[in-house]
Order: sequence, then structure tokens, then C-alpha cells
Amino acid sequence: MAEETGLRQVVETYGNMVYRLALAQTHSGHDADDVFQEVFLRYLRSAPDFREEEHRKAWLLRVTVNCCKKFHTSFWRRHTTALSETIPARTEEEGELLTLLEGLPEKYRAVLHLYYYEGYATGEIAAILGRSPNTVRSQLSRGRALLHDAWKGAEEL
Amino acid sequence: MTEENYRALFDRASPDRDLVEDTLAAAERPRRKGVPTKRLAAALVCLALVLGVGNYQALAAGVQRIIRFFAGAGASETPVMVVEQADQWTEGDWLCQLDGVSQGEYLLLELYLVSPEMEEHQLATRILQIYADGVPLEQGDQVYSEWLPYDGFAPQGQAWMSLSGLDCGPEVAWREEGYRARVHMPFTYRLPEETPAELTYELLDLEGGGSHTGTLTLTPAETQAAWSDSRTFAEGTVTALVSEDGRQLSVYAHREENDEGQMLTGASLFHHQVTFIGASGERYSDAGEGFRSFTSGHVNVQLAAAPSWVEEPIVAVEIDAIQLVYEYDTWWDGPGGGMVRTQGDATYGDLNWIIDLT
Repeated sequence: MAEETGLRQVVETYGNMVYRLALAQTHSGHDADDVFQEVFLRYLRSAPDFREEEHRKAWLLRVTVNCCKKFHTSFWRRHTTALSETIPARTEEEGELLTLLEGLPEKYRAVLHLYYYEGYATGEIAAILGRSPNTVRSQLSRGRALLHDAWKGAEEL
Repeated sequence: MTEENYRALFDRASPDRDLVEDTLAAAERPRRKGVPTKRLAAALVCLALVLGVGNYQALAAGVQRIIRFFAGAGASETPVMVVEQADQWTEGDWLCQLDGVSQGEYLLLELYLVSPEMEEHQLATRILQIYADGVPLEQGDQVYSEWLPYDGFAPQGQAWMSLSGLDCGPEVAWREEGYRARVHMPFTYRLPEETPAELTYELLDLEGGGSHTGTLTLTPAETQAAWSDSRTFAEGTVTALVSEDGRQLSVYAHREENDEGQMLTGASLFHHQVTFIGASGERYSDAGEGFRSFTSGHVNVQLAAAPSWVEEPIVAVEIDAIQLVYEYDTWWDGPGGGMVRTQGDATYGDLNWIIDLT
């Protein structure tokens, strides 16, 4: 029971974060649902003991990205659905952004999301994703270049 | 238009309440090896299709795995293609060979430089660019099973090694031809969804300058009916497959996470720990001559073979030792801290793992 209470608290606290990253990475509401479930079941199975809450958050982000890769490498899952089906645009600007995001290769999505949505610095993203800081900076830079029109107002690295 | 639009979009995305409750309910059920229902269903459809058209005997324990034996290449869960004919050329006294295999969407190419001299210098450094229909393939970091693009910074130089210490693989034949040292460089790439039949390459020599270009043809490896047997270790399950004639053996690691979060990513044979047993009871050690090993984080295809001079039927194969490679996440407590992917290995000996083919 204590285990369930603990999991419920973690799901309530980090559920949105996990779901949004999964959606940003897969662009599919169905895949995001699957990833969401898999991440928290893994959390329960692994029962990691974190010294700091920030570590728990980083663990969940890392596992989310891993699960997205695992689900998305299956060839029958490569037929991506449009992100706009899950998050319909409310303004013309949002519509343009969705169009650009839908054309963004998968390898840039998690980095951009962690940077722009979760507010992590590139060094932190590198630690979370297990990539080198140079790779993350390069992917962020490339991803931003691909979204150039949408990110005109974004601050420089 | 700024990042605020991005935030506004994703602020509106949340998991359904039903999804949250379903997840919590699933967590309450007794634990078992987690295969999400949808994936299991898809695997069962696959299984039915394969059984219908192929009559493969090589089914591993458990319904979610279909591991086939590819003649001359080894066991794999995904389709295997091999370089039809390794490209060979000479550079002075050196023999150069580029060979490879693809497994699913990943391509592993192995470059060998072989020299009749011991070679004093320490490293040979090459860049290998591969093109499909003129489009360069993305090169990957070959260490871990997750696809990480090669960042261009890791050193690609490899040291020369004496052939006298190497007793299996193509090195055996080269040593008999009088060569004394070799460099081995593996390169990993991601293939396009439609696997190309032909690849072109450009090999850049970072020491001497210059380059070499050529073409490689990929051809599907032939799938054969095979014998199978599985063993479960603390790190995960391994399936051994033996070709129908008993003369080729391969092992395959089930890529599943165990309860401790370790994911088995590879299993390796030691060729001198493999024995083929003839109908007369005679035991034939793997001679190394047919031993092939394409292993990286993404491609793991191995093969041990009975010596070519053995004429009697093979009735059993024995594996005495095996090495398992696994990955896991661990905390790095250095500056900044964070999660890092780590690799470990475990070797098991005295297995007495006999696969009876009668």
C-alpha cells in the first residue's frame, strides 16, 4: 500500500512532465500514453532510491526518452501521426509552429523540449540524456536552425 | 513567434485521468516481465505470419521472441543482410578489407588493414563515409545499444596488433599467408527505412592523406531452419541456435531489462570453448577458421563453425563458456552529477551447455 501511495504521488507530481516529453518526442498521443505507462511501471519495478528530488526528476526524463526510442524504433510505429491531432492550434502562430515541429527530426525533439519547456541548461541535458555537452549543443543549435522562423525571438546560447 | 508558443502548446497536453488510473491499477497487479499488451499482440501477429510462411523451428523460449538463424552469419531477431563480397584492395604492402553486416536498421562495417610487417607506429586513423543513393548515412556511436549519433570527437584511431595473439576470425587465414599485424576498425551506421542494395563508400586516410572509394552490395542472408535452446542468467536470457546440419552455432541475447534495470545487449562465444560432437562421439573444438563476430552496441551477429575437414554428422554442440554484456543507468557523482549509461560484462564458465541435435 505504501508502495502504491508513493507511486501515486510520483505520478501526480511528474505525470504531466513525462507525458509532455513523450508527446514532444513521438508526436503521437497513443505513443505518449504507452510511454507514460511504461515509464511509471519501470519506476515501480526499479524502485530507485534518490537522495534528491531533482535526481528523481532526471531519472524519469531519461527513462522517458529511452522508452520513446524503444517504442519508436519499431517499424510499424514509424508512421507518425500529426502532433496537431493531439494539441490543436488555437492561433495562427501556433499552427505555424506545429507545422515546423512536425517536420523536426526525432533526434532534436527531446533536446529542444528539455531546453525550452523544462528550462534545463545544455550541460544538464547532456547529463540527463547521457550525451556529450558538445553533442547536445550541436543538436540544440541544429534544431533551432531548423525552427529558425519560429525561434526568432529565442535567446542565443 | 517565440518559445512562449511552444510552452503554451504543451501546457495544454496532459495525460487522461483514465490513463493515470490505469497505470496505477497496472502497478497494483502482480509483477511479471513487462511486455505491454499492444506490443505482445503485435509480436503474436508476427509469430503467426512467420509460422505460416516459414515453418521456422528457431523459436526461442517465450512467445515474444522470434530469433532466426542466418546461414553463414548467425542468430538474429531482425533481418540480416551481409556484404555480398568483402571489398579488398592493397596499399603498398598492406592488404585492406572492408566487410560488414546489417541487422535490422543498423549497419556495421569492419575495416581491416593487414601488414606483413609488425608496424612500429601506434595508430591508424581513417574516416569512412557511406552513401546510399548519394545520401550520406548517419554514423553512430557504436558502444551502446541506444542510437547516439557519432559526435565527431571520439578518436577513431586504432592500434596495430600482432596477428600472433589472435586465433580466430579472418586473422587466422591472413597469418597463414604471412601477414604479421593488423588494424581493426568498426564503424556503425543507420540505414534508411528501405534498405538499399548498394552502398558506396569513401575512406579517408588521415595520416597519409588520400582516399579510397568503392561499392558494397548488401544481400539478404539466407535463413535456415535451426535447433534452439535457451538459458537464463542473472543478467538475462540467451538463446543458442544451431544450423540444421549442426555445423554452425550462434548465440543471441534477449534485449530485455531485468528487475534490476540491467539490459542484456550482447552475448559472445569464446571459440575455444565451443565443441562440436560427431556421431562417433569424437569431439571437435571450434578451429576459429569459420568464427565470425560482428559485435557493436547495435549489431550483434556471431558464428562459430565446425572445422571444415570434419566429415561425419554432428549430433550435439557444447558451449562451455559465454560472456554477457549488459547496460544500466547509474549516477555519476562528479561535478554537475547526473545519470550515465554504463556497460558491464559477466563471464560464465563450466556451463556444460549441451544442445542435443538428435
